[in-house]
Amino acid sequence: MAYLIWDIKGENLRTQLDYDPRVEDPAYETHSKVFVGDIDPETDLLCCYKLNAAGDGVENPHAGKTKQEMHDLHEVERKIKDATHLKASKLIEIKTTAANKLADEYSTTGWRHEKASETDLLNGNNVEMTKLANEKKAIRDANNAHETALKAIDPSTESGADAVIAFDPTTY
Amino acid sequence: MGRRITEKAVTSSGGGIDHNDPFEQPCFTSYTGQYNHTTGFFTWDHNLNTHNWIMGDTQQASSYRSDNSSYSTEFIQTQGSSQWFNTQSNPGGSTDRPNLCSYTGYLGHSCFQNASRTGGATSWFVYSPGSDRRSYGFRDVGTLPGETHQDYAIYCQFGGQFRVGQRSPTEYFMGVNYGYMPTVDIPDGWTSQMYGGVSYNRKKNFLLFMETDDGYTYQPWLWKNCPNLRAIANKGSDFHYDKAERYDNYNMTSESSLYQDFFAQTSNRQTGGQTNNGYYATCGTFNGKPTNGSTEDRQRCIPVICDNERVIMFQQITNYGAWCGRWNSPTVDGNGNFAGSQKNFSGTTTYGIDQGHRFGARFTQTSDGRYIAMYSPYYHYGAGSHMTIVRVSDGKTLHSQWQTSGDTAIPVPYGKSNFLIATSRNSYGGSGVRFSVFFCDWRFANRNNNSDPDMFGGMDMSEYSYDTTYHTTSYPAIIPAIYNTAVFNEGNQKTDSSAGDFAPTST
Repeated sequence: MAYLIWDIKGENLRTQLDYDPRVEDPAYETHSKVFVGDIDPETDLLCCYKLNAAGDGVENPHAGKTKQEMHDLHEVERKIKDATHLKASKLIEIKTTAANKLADEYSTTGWRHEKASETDLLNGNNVEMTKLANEKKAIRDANNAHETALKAIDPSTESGADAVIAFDPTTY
Repeated sequence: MGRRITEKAVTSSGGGIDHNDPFEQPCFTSYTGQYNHTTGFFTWDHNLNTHNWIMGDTQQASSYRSDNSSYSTEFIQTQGSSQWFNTQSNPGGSTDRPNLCSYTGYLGHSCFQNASRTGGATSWFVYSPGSDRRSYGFRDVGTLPGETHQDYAIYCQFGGQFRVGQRSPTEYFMGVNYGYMPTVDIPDGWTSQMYGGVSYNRKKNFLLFMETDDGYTYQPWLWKNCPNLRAIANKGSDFHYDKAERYDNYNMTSESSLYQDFFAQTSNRQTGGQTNNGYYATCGTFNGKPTNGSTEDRQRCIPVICDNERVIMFQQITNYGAWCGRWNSPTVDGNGNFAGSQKNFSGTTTYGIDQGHRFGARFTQTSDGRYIAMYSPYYHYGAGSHMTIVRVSDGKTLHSQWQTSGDTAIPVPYGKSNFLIATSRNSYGGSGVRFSVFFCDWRFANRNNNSDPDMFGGMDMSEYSYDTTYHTTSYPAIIPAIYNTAVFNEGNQKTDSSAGDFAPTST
């Protein structure tokens, strides 16, 4: 008989022990749930296990499959979970990339702005500033198009997850 | 209970006092960052107080972490969009993340330069080809059981190219790649020496090489009365250091001091195969050692030669898990027989040196060298962990696993005799860096040999206390510090017997 240790914060089955850790550490259940059971690591993967609906045990949704099959199914699940987080992160990244482009060369204290405004002053028109504004608009438009492209990808499928992971938020 | 502050007059540079509390040295650094977001490093000392920190904000012109063409440092600008230094995914998600457990070890972290202990500077990343170069050292470095002065390293390649040098993977790259570092070819006892398959117990003057037939069978070969390798390393890795200078060259194979005086005399090699009084037994699949057809477990291992001449061997078995075995002493508790598998970690797909020399099992050791922790990932590139800690005095081992496809944890030398178990767990929501302390003496005293002390339990004890630099989901890279281990030992702490203060062994 083994004791299966569920990591509460990490939401995964961390390990199995041949003793009950709660005996020595009464506070053990503040960070880990302990269930009784046996898992054969030669034929089963701890990383596949999930907490059951009642929260009073763990179960492997891929039970009965080979270890390699479990691994492959788990890898897809892991990838989708990862891609879902990445999609939100990359949407932020697209915006900050545009902000950086605008703040770097195109800021009001940058050399482009200074040169354009002074050229217009000398020429008595606003040709250069208009050109500058159009360049900045092009950056914002590209930002919007890039955001739209990422939002259109559904990370809940394996192919969608792969597309999100491969998506470069900084190149547009 | 305080610690003595040593005061040493500095005379050669005009006077002054050097205050040196070993616990005020850096212990580890966390790095978090993503693309051009706020990024930086926090470093803590062995009191778990803040040692130093540096961070940047991309919205500020002074930012160091930025894609801004005008303000970035050279590495940052080039790496600004690199996957290598993004911590937005956990170690199960990509090969190119700084938070993989296989990027850490005795030499620090392959993706970051180590900080100087005296200057208050923090670690700093290297460009990705640089981390690849540094990884050769992580692949080949050997253990130094019992060593209190850990300012050097020993290395062994498959086939027996042996080197000693400073504790620097950059210096080692000079040798392994360019051939510009003194090298000795170790005479074969049986077959071939292994990557990282060397262990130097300076307290006993033992030097042990693990040999393999390149077919999953292994045998330890022990050399006794070994020269002081630390002295050779600190003198500049010169094997001729005690020879007279002359205009004609020394012949490395016939006149080299270390080679001729030690390795060339096979009488120093206490084992002589299966007929002599040595570690005569081989170990392999016939002893139950698992294998999965990889170079990692065919040509690479981490051995530890203990004070009582027991030999502990740890291997990552790629695409399977990890394994730990033991040989008994030829003289103390047996006839050098193989004592069998101590632990068989059955896991799943993992990367080893077949996938690149930046992958594979790693080790580190406590400041006093009394405990050595060996570990490898459970899942793919560097997630989860299989870990064995060995007590050098007698070869007692404890083993734990964290079988996850998400995060990882690494052992970080902490104080005199302990490890931190520091994780890559998400720092989101103010959780910050999460770690626990593994008190080696206590845990080894209260556990049987080969039992599981649940090393990865309680990893959230530090939650909400140790900040990171990124504002949302981020999985920190943990960078173990390189510091002066010697000052943690006798003569530098108030609790030393010689200091007349509390001594655990006195009445």
